[in-house]
Amino acid sequence: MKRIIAIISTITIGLMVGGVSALYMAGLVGGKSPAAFADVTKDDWSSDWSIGSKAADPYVRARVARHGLLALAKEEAVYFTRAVDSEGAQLRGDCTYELAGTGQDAYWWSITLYDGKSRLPMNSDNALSIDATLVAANYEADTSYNGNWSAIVSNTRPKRDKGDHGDALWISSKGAESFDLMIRLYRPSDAVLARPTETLNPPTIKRLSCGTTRAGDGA
Amino acid sequence: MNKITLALVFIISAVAAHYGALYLVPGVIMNRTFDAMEGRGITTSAFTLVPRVTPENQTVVRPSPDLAYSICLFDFRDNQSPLNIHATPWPLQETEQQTGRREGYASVSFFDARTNNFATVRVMADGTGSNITLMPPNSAGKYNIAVRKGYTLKVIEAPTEQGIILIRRLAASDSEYAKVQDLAKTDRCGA
Repeated sequence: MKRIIAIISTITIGLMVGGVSALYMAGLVGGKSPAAFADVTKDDWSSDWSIGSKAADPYVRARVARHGLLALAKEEAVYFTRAVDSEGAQLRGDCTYELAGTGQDAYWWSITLYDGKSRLPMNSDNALSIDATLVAANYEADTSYNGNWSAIVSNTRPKRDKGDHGDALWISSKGAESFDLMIRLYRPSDAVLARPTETLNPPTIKRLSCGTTRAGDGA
Repeated sequence: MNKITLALVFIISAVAAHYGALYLVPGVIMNRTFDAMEGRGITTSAFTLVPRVTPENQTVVRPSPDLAYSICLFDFRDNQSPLNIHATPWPLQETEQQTGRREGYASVSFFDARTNNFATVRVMADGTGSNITLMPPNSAGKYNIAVRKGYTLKVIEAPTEQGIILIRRLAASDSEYAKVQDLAKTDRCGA
């Protein structure tokens, strides 16, 4: 009898350890970063070229099912995630950041903010993302526009002085304690797919301030 | 029973549970997604344009608020008839026509029951890619499908009997989304 109890107990513990370790390693429990399985990284922006394809290993497949269901394979879209600022600190909802970038070697691109549960933060600011269309429209009147742009990521709407390009481009972090940013590149060029670390030019993320007083905020 | 035997039992159990869980997770999550979508009125063999994504109505992780999504569930378990899919072309946007920018975007993507994106077709403003036939698993070669004048009619075979078809159209503003609402009425996903 003792032998049977020992075997059943061992199997039960083994099943639990195996199951929980799988869920943890796949990012389904324990708060593992959505970018934890990246095989392409540039300036702290991470992606995995096997997303959406049969080449994805069981961990990537499970992570995508949890954090990026219905993601496209890389030939149609690539997704880069970044959760830290230029100093390596976790992006936080009570801080203000400057996001600066230029054009992307893709048909279209966008940048969206997601909270720690891979959800859009619960706010009604109507400022969940910026995209190539919005950036182009924002700089439309600037004849010297050379593709460089900047945006503010903060939990209050920023204002800019006259002379700047209209209202500041803004992504609202209101409602997100911590967050990450995801850049989508739709129909990336062959060069991006073949030599991502050489050809990608992802935006920079500079922390401007934290706490109640924020640089770039309106009165 | 010695400790070595128990250790082996433990290792075998843990490894089996580890890889078993990893294998099951995508299918389980897709099943839950099917159920959630059906709960929202998304049906099999018909496209449903879902409301513009907001924090309140998001039902899948990491949706893009800049895209309009039309969803059709496919299920070949009871009906082996091929699905004829029509994604109405998304005309070039006004700003695009004026400035030559390339921001317009539309595609039809196919996902099997294990989350694989097994095909994606680019839908161009001139109609290229707007007509697609989805065949049941293991049925390639049984049908002779003509190519309609002016359109590229693609034929794709599904690797699993159930899955999701998704049309993505770039609609980063309320006014563009309203245009998609009109245009999506002529999308088709049926036998």
